[in-house]
Amino acid sequence: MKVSANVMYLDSPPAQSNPVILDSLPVPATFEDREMPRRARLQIDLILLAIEALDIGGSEAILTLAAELELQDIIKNRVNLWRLRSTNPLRRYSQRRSLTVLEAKALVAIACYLARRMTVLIRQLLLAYQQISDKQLSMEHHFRLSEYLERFRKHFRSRMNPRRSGVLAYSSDEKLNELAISLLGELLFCTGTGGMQRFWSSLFDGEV
Amino acid sequence: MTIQRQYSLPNCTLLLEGLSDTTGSGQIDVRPIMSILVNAECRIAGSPLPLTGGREFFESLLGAVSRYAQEFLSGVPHFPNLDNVQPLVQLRRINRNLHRLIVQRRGDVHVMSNGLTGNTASTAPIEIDLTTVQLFDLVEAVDQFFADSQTLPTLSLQVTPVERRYANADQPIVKRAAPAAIGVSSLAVAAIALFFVPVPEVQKPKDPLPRPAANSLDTTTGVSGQVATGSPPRSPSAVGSETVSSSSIASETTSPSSITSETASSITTETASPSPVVSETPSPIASETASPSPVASETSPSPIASETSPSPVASETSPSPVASETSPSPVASETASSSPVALETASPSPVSSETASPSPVASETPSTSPSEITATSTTESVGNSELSSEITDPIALRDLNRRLHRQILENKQEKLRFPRQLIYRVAVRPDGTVADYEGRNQSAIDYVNETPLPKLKTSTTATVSGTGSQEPVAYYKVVFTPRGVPQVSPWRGYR
Repeated sequence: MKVSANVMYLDSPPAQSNPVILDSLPVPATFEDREMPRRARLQIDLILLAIEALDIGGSEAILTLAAELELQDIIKNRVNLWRLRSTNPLRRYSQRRSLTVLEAKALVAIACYLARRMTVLIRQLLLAYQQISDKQLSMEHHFRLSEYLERFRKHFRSRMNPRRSGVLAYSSDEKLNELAISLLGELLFCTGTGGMQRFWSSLFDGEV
Repeated sequence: MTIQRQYSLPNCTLLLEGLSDTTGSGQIDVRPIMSILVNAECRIAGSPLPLTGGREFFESLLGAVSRYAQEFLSGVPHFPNLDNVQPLVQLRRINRNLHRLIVQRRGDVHVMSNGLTGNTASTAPIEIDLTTVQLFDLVEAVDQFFADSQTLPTLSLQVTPVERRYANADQPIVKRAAPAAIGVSSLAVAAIALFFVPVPEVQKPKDPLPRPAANSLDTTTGVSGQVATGSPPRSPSAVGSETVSSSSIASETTSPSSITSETASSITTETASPSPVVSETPSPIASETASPSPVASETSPSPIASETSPSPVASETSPSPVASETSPSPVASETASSSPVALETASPSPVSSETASPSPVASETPSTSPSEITATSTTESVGNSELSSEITDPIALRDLNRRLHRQILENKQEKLRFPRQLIYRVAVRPDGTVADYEGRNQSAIDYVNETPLPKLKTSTTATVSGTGSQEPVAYYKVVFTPRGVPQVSPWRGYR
């Protein structure tokens, strides 16, 4: 007797409205009571930036989702969210305070849930990018993709401090496009079944 | 009972066949637990050949895919636990959007053949290039398998961050070494560049060499001037030896012009040339002149100079002035003792006139050489006026003191005001004229033009040009008080 279990990733269990989800993200022993490493703060903010570039109401969605996931104790309001994201060292108004592990967990969970909602779009854009680059065409040939890239560039330039060397590396449109596409790929991985664990774990790569 | 589990995604299908560990409970589950894996098959869209294998292949696939997913997310490479054996399944990044899946043909890996190629085909590894989306589907299939607790529950998703020591390999060694290399190479380039820049030479103060251009008319003045200002290195022996040869030159050449030209050439060529001129006149007493010349002092000839100087005409004057002037001058810089000797050699003007071998030369030399000497000697006498003889007679001192005071009073301006007193040392000739003066403090130097001293000096030196320091002088201390009142007293007081 053959039992075929056909599990589509879109059928993943619905969002648990419980901060207990954060428990599924193991913290490396060395980071129990420490703040998030620099690269992690940068990465979290960039992923959220990519989400905002994909979805024009992204920042609103973050707050809404925070409430849905009962994370409003961590992400209280818009200003609070802005301050958390400004722990990104490349930000124009970078905060001196760092990101606690709990805050980072909340942001990662929100990012992964939002990404999952946009799975189809993300896949479409990545496939489009693949086809376009195979044909050596410019990004303008795909309206949705060029819209995403343009919006990402705009967000990035308006929020990042152009004097930082990390930002100077992305001075040209091409460099920013590459960054946006690579973030799109990471977002795709966040949508997976184990995406949240994988993304969370990757934040500590090379830091423990 | 064979259990089949399939995790299908748009680009990747993972098909597992296994057995249930049916021990005991006879009830049939809807989804029994698959605990034994018999066969695993991975089909990737676009790749005609499915990858199949046993548990070894499947576990290797899980590990490779899981690690590579983390590597993709963080950019930090994840290395498998290296145990010399190349893993069956590997994933390598080709570029941002292409990832290569490499499966070795060994172990329990089976490659389904289409019948065209036999199983024994080759041992080359299978390589499949995946796009990012395809890779994600592979990862997602693996993750869904991990999440499925009913299939091989012993295998579950375990991701751990890479340790810091592995992350250091993040940047290639070339990139990390670049800053140091640039620093070292730029230092080297700078060193090479600076190597060719010449080392600045220390400029030694040049000896006042003969300046024939200044007064090329007669070389003797040039000679005497040069010697007077002092080129000490001339050795006495050289002087002595040269006398003979140069005298012969003098005797050979008759016309003065030729002599001058001759001596001029000798000046430029050999530095010892002045001595010939010296020895020309007293060639008979060459033995005498040779001996004093090395030791003659500056001070000694001054009386003679005073004798000769009043006769600027010099045409009639016998070569004696030449002797007097030139003989001491070559050795001017050398101190010393034998002033009597010099006087002797200088005084025998009759002797030299008797010999008178180069009278034309003599006629030329006196006319200019005295002035030259005064010019040089006056500048010197300011500094080291001890060298010229001094009047020490108290009666003469008192007389000169009065005359000097009167001169100053007559020539000074009506109202003089100075911030502080001015102190001068003034040299006065026996006839009461001012030979020279020098300021002894800074304000004296600053305000010298307001005092009558420059006027007194210039008005008097004109008439008695020539001998300068050679005549005896008396030294006086002239003080201008801040209110402009001059006070004159002998420099050393009345003995």
